[in-house]
Amino acid sequence: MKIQWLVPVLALSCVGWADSWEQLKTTASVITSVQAEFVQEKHLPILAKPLVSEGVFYYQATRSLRWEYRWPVRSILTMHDGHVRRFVSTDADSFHEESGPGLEAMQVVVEEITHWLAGRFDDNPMFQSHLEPGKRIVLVPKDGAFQKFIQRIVLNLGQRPGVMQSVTIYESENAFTQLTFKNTVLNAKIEDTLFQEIP
Amino acid sequence: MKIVRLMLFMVLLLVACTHLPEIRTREDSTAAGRIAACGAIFPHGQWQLVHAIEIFPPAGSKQTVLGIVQLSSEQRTFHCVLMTIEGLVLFEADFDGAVTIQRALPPLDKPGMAEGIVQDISLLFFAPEQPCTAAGLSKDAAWICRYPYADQGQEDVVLQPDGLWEIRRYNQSHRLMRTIAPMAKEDLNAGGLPSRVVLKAHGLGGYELRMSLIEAVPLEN
Repeated sequence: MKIQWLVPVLALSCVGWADSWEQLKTTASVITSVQAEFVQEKHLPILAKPLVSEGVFYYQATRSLRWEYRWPVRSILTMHDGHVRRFVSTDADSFHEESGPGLEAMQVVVEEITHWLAGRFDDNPMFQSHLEPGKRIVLVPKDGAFQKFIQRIVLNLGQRPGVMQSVTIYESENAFTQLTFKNTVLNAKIEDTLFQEIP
Repeated sequence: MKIVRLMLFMVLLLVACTHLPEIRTREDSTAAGRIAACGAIFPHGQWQLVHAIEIFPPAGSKQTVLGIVQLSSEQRTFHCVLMTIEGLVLFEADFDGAVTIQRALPPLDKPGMAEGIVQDISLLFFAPEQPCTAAGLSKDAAWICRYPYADQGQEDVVLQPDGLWEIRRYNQSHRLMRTIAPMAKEDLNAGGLPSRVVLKAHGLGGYELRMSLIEAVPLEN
């Protein structure tokens, strides 16, 4: 009998957590860490089928992130104290630090992800932010030159407060990267070393 | 001034010393089959290939990107994309005899960079355009098929006795510009596309690309 009551109560507690920027920030304010698995699909007009990558990410408030690809190429992006590093493993075991093309752009992206996980979707002055019905957030770059590279970013929030369901980064209408998250765990203890040390 | 003269002398010496490997031409019953085997190292038909590419530049640290190429061996055309592991497209171009760049982010937007990428992809995946003009055994018992280029350069496809192969591209002065080879015998497979291949650009500003095949999808017409 008690369980019959519990379901609607839980459902009600989820309603409206993403109705305003303030609600999003309030919900995120109690989140100390997030970890989730993700599937990344790269869609390009030329591709016979999307290019799929899989991995896991760890976030610790306020600015630590580990973005780890496990397949098809093992690669780890870390951000700690605002400093982004990339490590890639192309052989069986060892990871090597790499710089090179795209790392500066990834610094911006990784920084932005930490803002989203902290519920700060409308903080970045580079983007025009729209909160739409259906727990959907659309970010459009204000700068025309930036729009050549990223047309818009669409974030779909989950039913569960503080959980993101998917992120789609559009380079054009038919060239986009879609990240879908699953098995999200909130507020679990994550060791600091995870953001500083690479196995 | 002495240094300049010395460098000039060394460059002249290098140019003077370059020559193509000698071929002992054979015209026996096996020659036609072996020449066909030289052409068989290249993919035939239409393919979508995805590689992890480790770039070892002439200066600086190694970088890894993903390379996607959709090619037609019959039409000698391709569409190629280079992107970061995270999916950021750094370079995108079409080749149908001429190069059309769709997108090029720094440092891949430098003059000559697109042409260089297209030439490397053509050398990797397309059989030489001209027919074989000489074929035979080298001093070390490798079978060499030699193909002329319109720029007066040459391409050798070398079939080693142990089953490995190598592509060697020479310029008009017979200077070795590129070599391409599977990294090991285990990288060869029945489908013809090696799982790991290394491209070396020789000379000043030389670089190395180590390519690991992630996916090979045959495409419909």
